[in-house]
Amino acid sequence: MKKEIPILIGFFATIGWYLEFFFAGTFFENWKMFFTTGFRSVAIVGLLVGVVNVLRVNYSRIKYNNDRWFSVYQMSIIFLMVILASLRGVSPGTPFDAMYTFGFIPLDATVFSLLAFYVASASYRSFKIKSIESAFLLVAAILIMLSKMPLGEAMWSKIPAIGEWIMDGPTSAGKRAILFGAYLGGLTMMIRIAFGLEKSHLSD
Amino acid sequence: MRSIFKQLILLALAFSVYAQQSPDSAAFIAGEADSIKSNEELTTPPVLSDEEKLCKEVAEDIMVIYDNWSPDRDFNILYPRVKGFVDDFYAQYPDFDFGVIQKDKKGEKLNDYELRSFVAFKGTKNDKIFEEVSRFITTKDFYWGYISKELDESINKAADKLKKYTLSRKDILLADQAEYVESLLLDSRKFDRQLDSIKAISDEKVIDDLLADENYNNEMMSIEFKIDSAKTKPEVQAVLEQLYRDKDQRILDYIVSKRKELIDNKRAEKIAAKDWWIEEKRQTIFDLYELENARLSDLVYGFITPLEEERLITSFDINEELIKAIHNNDPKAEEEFKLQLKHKFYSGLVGAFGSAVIYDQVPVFRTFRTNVLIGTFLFMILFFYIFIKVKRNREKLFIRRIPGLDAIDDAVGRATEMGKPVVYDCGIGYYTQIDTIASMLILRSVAKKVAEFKAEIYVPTCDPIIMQISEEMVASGFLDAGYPEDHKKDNIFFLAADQFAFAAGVAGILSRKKPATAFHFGYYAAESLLISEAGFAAGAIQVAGTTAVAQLPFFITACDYTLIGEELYAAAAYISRDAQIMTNLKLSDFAKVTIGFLFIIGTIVMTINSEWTFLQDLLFTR
Repeated sequence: MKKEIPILIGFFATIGWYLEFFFAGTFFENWKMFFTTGFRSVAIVGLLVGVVNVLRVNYSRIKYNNDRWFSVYQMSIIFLMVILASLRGVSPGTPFDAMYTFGFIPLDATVFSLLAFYVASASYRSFKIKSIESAFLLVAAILIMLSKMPLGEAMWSKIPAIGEWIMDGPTSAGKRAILFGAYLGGLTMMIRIAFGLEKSHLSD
Repeated sequence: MRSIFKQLILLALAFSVYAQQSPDSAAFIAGEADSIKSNEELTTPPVLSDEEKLCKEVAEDIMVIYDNWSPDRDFNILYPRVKGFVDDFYAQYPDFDFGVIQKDKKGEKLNDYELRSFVAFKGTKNDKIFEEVSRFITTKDFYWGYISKELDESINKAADKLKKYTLSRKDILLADQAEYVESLLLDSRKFDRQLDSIKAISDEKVIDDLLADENYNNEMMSIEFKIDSAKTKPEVQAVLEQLYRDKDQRILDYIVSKRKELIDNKRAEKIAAKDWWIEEKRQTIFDLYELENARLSDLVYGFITPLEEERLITSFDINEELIKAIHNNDPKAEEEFKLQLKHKFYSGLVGAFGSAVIYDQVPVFRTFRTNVLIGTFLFMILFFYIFIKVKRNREKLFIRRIPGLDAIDDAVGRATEMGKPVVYDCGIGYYTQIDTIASMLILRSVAKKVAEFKAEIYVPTCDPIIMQISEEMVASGFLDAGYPEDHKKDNIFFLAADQFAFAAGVAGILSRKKPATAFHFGYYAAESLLISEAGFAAGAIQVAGTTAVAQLPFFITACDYTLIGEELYAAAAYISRDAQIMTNLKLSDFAKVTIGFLFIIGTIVMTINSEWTFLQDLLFTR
């Protein structure tokens, strides 16, 4: 029963969502609403679980791992933000907002900006001619790069058009082929889960 | 004598006034009865149809809800907050002068104090008072929640009347629908024909377009046409036409390139126009009931709009006067505030009623999706057919290899040999996304391998629910392998819900733990490269898989193996060598062949005659 009940719930939920696509009406709207609300409720409970987990994991790190002393700072900042938000609110001008605006946002932006360097280093590694395919890749990449900057057009007026053709033609054909396969794969997986053929998520 | 004269003048004036008024007065007296009759006619309410009567009744229901609502409770909650906010501002800027606003409008330079106070009052930063005050007033949640149950019931009761009426008109609406669908399909085909016809742009049209182009003279000169001598447009046209007649290669080349540009532009324009058109029409056919309800609710609004003073307020304006009045404890400010709350309630009420009405009551089969229903049924039949066939002939069937999945065994073995852990992250998708579900299924198989090889696995997650599922998957994997005692619960943890915080956390784990192997399966966005490059720098062998097309190049570059698209979905079964893998891969291949075949047929049919749209109509989905 431990496995059959979840499979049955999954089956009926799938059928409901499937039929909702074909039928309009209060029953199906309510059905959708029931599950949407359910997801939201689970997410709220999940948040609590997340908080407990963060506390538990960091506590054991602080207690047993001497090299994880910075977890103390991490936990202190989390607590500080929670306390400040509880005492003074989160509206603009409050300490919480200041910590968020002048602490979190710049840090977030810093991590994002690292991407530029990683793109450069990844490009450097991949733009090496090791085979015919990589030679094609290199030529296409150089053409695309040139087509996106004024220098390319200054060198040869047709470079932007070539770059555009590569993006619109071969690249989008490849992208669509991948998506096409992914959708079919997703559909197959849906059938497998819905009919209980895939049971690995049920500790089977 | 003088006084007699004066009396005479006054008499004459009085007579002239009487003379001017008398015809009307006389007419009034004469036609008094008629006039009263006509007034009666004016005041008699127009005869309403049944439909209008119903709408009027519903409008009255809504007005009852509105009249029964008192803003006092919300006023008592909100006003002290707004007042506190305003007073804080004045405590911080006691010398704030409203002249600053005028100065700014005039573009005069403000000193530092003025600038700071101006920004705090109205300016461009987050701490502006205007934004705060309007936020308090416009956030409907403040007052909407506590009455929602009874309010919803009353609104639904009113809305139900309209919905029932719509239901009674079902047959008429359905008859109209068929006609409407047909007309839309015709229009759609017209668009497609226009799109096809663009290809046939004549050379003359290209020359006209060249002449219409403002830069044509410069362009001509730059390719050395003999046009610089021509001064007027007709002269230029004559030269161009002569060159065209002479089949001058330069002009022919130019026309070819220009025509291509023109076709491309026009196609893009046409496609954009069609997309816009489709977007506009999207809901109209298939939400016919909702349309009908919307029409009726419009009638209802017609009956409720022109009422009391506060209902005439069309927009809310937080201005200097209001803030000044709030600060000065002016009773007018309180009145204004209550009025605004009432107005917000009114807008909310009308909006909630609109949503309640525009909502399909009857279970109606969406006939326009019949093709999808048949298609998915066929797909399911194919699935079970292949599933049964595969089960019977498992040994004989050829299954294509997926190198990324074959590498998982080696990768986990490497971790054991090196005495280093395995890191598995499942991206930033939620547990409702199919990529994440697939990732969870793979995690179980990977965990089983890890347990068999006696290695250690870390699973950082970006969502608490996913953390719970991951924990369950890893525990099951260890149990499958027969080593449940090796499972360390603390190794599966919630890292951060923010995208880049999660990326930074995973990158940190990769660089500190220096894992032998890193798996990245799931849904990824910009953090894909941040994570995979950190793994590369840590010297880990990396296997990634996602269906996010934009991230695949990054994974292919930074990882050793990448599962592309549907391979991700097949991965779990492939690793466990389950019979389902064969179904999954075989079915995908069958479906690809079938749909690819349809693509080819469709292309041929449309190439032969662009009006043969039967296949297009058959496969068209909405």
